[in-house]
Amino acid sequence: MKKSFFLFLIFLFFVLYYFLFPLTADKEHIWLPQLVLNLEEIHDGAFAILEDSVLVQTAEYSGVLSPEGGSVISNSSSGIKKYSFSHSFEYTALNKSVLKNRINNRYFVFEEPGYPLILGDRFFLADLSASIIREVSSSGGTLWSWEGVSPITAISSADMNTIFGTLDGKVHIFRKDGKQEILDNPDNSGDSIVYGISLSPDNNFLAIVYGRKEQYLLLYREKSPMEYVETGKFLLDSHFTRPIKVEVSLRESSVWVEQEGKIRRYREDGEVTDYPFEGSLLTMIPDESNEIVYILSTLPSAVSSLVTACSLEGNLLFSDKIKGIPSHFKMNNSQLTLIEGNEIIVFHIGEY
Amino acid sequence: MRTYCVALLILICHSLPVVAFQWPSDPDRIIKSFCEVEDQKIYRGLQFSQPELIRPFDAGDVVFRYIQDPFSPLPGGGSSLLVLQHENGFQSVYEGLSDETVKTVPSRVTQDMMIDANPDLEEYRFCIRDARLTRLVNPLLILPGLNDRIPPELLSLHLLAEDGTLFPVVQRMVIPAGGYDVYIHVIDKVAKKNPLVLLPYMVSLYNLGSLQAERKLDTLIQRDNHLSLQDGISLKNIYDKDGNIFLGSIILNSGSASMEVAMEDFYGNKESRQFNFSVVR
Repeated sequence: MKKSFFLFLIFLFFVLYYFLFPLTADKEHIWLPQLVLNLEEIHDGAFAILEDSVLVQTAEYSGVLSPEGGSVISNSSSGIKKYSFSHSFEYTALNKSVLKNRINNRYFVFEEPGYPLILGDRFFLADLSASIIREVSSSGGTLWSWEGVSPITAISSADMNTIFGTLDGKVHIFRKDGKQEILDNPDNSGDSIVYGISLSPDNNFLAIVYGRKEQYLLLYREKSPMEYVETGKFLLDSHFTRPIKVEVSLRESSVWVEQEGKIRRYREDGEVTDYPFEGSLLTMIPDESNEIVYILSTLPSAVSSLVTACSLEGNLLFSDKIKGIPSHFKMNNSQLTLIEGNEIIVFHIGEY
Repeated sequence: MRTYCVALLILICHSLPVVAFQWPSDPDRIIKSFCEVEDQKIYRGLQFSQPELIRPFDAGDVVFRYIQDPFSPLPGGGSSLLVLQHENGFQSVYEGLSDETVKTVPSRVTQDMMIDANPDLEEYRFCIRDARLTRLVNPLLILPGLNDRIPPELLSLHLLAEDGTLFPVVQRMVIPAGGYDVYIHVIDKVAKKNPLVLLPYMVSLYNLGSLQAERKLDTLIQRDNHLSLQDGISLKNIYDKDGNIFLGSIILNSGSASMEVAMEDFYGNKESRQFNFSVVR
C-alpha cells in the first residue's frame, strides 16, 4: 500500500477528531479593579464608571454611590442608620426614628418602639428580639404592626408580602394592606424554630428552613394571594442554631441554602448541587446571568477571607484570598463592590 | 396519713425544679421588672445592670443565637440574642450579651457555667418563655425567692372621669357620681434600705366590699397582634402616659363609697388601703 494513503488516513483521523472533540480553551474570569476610593475622602459627586447605583451599608458607612451624581456616603457610626436608594431611616438618641426622603428632603418622625429596618424599598420599625415589627409607609403612616411573645428569627420581604418566622416555629405573612395569614405550620410539635426565609421578588416562590434537632428546607408556591402550598421538602445535613442564609433563585425553581462547608442548591424536582468553600460563610452572590456563584467566607485564622467562584454546575472556577474581612460584598450587573477597612473597591468581572 | 404523704411527695417533686433554677445575676442589679413601662417600651422580663459574668437560669441547649453582622441573614437593629431551651419546657432569653459570648457559648450549657457579659453595654435583658404554652412568664414567679418581708405600697390612686377630669383619691373627699377609670401607682420594695423596687404580683380593687377588678402580672400572651395579660387586656390599654396601671372601670352612685385596693407581692406579703368618701349628684 502506498505511504501517501496512510498519510491521508492520518490526516482524515485528525480532521474527524477535531470535529468530534473541538479544542476549546477554558474561559478565565478575571477581576479588573475599576475604582478604588477611600470612604473617608468621598464627597458628593458622580461616579460615572459605575454601571448602576451601589447601596453601601456597613457598620460605619452608609450611602449611595451613583453614576448620575448627587451620591452621598455618610459616617453612621453614631447610631442605627439604614439606607435605601431613595430614603434614609435613622434611629436617634431620643428613641425616635426619622424616615427621610433623600430626594425631596421630606421626613417623618416615628415614636413607636423598634429600630429602623429597610428591606428592598419597604420600611419597618422592628425590634426582632422583643418580637415587635411595624411596617410604615414612606408618607409616615403605619401599614400594619405585630407584637408577640416569640422573637423574630427570620424575615424576607418582596413586592407585596412580608414573611417572617418566629422562635415558636410559626411563619407569619403580612400583605402591604395589612391582611395577615399564618402559614400552615410545617411542624405542629411546637418544638421547631424558623432559621431562614427567602421570598422571590414576585412573591411566588417561598423557601423556609425550620426545625431543631432535624432541620428541613420547605419550598412553597403562592397558589392564590397569600395562600402558599408546599412543593418540596428536604432534610438538611447541618444543624445550625443561628440564622441560616437562604436565597431563592430568580431564574430557576431552586434555592441556595447554607450548609456546613458548602452552599447547596436544591431544585424543586429534587436535584441538588454543591458549591464547596473553605472557612465560615459570610455571604454568597448567585450571579445567574453570568452563571457564577460567588461565595465570601472567612478563613479559620479570621484575619483574611476568601472569595470562591463556582459555575452553576458546582465546578470551582477560582478562589482569591483577601487580606482582612470585607464589610460589604455586592454584585451589580458585571461589577462587584467590596469594602475592606475604609476602602471601597469596584471590580469589573470579565471573561478572558 | 397516706394521702398526706402522697400530697407531700407531689409537693416536693413539684418544688424541686423550682429550687434548681438560679438567678442569672444578683437580684440587686435589677433595673426594670416584668411589665414595667418606659418610653412606650414594655419590659417582658427583667433588665439587669451589666455584670461581669452571667449564670444560666438552668442547664439547657442553645437553640438560637444571633449577633448583629453586616452579612447576617437576619437583618435589623436591636441587640444580640441567645436562647436556651430547658428540659422543663421553658426557654431563657438573654439580650445584650457580647457578640463573642453569643458566638462561643457551647451548644450545651450547664448550670455551673459562667457566661461572659458585655462590658460595652450598661445592661442586659433576661426573659423566660414557656415554649409549650407560647407565653412570657414573670421570672419572679419561678426564680428562687428573695428575702422580702415588705408588702407592696400604694403611692397613688386616681379616678379618671368620662370628661377627662382626674381625681386623686383621698379620705373623706367628695366626688360627683358617674363612671370612672381607676388608675393606681404601686410599687413593691424588697427591703427598706435596698433600692430594688419591683411591681407587685397582684392588685385588686373592691368597692363596698365587692371585687371590681383584678390585675395579675404573672404572664404575657399574644392576642390580636398585641401583648396582653392573662385576663386578655392589651398592655397598650393598661398604662396611662405617666405609667400608672389601669385597674378597671367603676360606676359610683351617690352616697357613701368605700374603695379598697388590695396588693400582694410574689412572696405572699399583702397590704390593702381603704378610702372612704362621698359621692354626690
